[in-house]
Amino acid sequence: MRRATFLMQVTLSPRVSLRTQLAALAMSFSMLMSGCASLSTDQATLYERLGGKEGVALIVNEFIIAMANEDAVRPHFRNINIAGFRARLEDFLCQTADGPCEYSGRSMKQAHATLGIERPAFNAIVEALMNAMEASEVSFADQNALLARLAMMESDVVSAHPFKPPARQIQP
Amino acid sequence: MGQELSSSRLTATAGTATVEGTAGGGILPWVMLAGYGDRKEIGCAAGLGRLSTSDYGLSTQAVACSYSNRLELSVARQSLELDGLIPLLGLPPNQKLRQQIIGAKVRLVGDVVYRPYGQLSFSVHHKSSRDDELVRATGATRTSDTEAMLGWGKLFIDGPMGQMLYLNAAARWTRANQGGLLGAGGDRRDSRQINMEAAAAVLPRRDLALGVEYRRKPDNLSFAGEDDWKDLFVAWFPNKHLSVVAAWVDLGSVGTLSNQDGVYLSLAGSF
Repeated sequence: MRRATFLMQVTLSPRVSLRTQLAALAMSFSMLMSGCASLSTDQATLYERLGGKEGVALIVNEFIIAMANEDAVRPHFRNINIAGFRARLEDFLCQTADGPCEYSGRSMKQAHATLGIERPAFNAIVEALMNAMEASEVSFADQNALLARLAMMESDVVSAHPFKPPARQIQP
Repeated sequence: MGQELSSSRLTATAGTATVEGTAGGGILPWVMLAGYGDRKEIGCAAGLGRLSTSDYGLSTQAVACSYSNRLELSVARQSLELDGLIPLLGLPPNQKLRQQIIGAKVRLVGDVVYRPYGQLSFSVHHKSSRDDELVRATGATRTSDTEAMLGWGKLFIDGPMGQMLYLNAAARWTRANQGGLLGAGGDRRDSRQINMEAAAAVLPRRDLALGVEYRRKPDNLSFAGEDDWKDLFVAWFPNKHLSVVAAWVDLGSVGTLSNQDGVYLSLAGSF
């Protein structure tokens, strides 16, 4: 990086010929680009940046609490086994963030096909996840990296048909 | 059920109330619809704006509502104080140029946040002057006119350096003079033309946008040349009910007076 700065200074010097300046500029530009490329390959996976297993578990915990506090989302969790949901969600986020996990649950489309999640509820879920990551002290850049991957699944999760809350299970 | 005012869309993704009434960013209209309502929800936004340049002052009031994130209707009033022009043209003191803008915007397809290709919106503005005599005196051929816009916008969640990036581009089919404040059409040209405008904003936080905008404009009047508009802005969205915009705006030459740049401030509420 220091060399690139030096070359940038050279490029700004008026005593050097235009051709040399352009060559130096191109060189420093390619160095910057390759520097960035090698940075990103050396860099930890998103999963690691989210804090690995513990980090994802923390995010999922905060996420479930945040969703439970959303009026638009809570009814969708009636009759859902939270422990199983938590485990599947951890695997799913781990896999989505390039972690060493394999999500073995149903596809996003299948899992949400009968839930009738409409856009307002989906927005509330996205906000819950944003707040969960904020509470888990995930950096804004890492939040965005995960959100961008999940946002593309909106059409698999949201359905055009309205949600009908399932009847409460009557305990014997 | 579902008809009440609601605000489910993500913070900042509803933009703010602009000088033309419809939702947008710094001073330009963008593709998003006013308020935070999404499917089957109603969202509204109302804002006040003030732009002060060396020779002019522009006050704006805007209200816009949208239904189901599909159709937005908006009304705006603008009042231009002509401080620098009054002595030059011998106009009566307190002479102003006022106009009303009624607008409709339709989300044609897509979504600013959730679709990889972004969102396309089409809008129509009907602008009518309330100071016909002065508008005609400038050489404008019409005191009211309608313009149309087709725009594209997209929020890149995972933008450069991990920040969010919003891009907006639009084509405006118009013959408005100075955005309609000096009527429409003129001796140089009386037909509509297509003018491009664009905006780019970086969001280093969920509640903050820093951006730049550029708007091409017609130049219909030989009495007073007209320049493109450009601005740099900061928009702050402390929550879904409030947005504050501060901008440095360069209007170029306005009504024979050149170098009209200044500060724009706006406060808007969403509900």
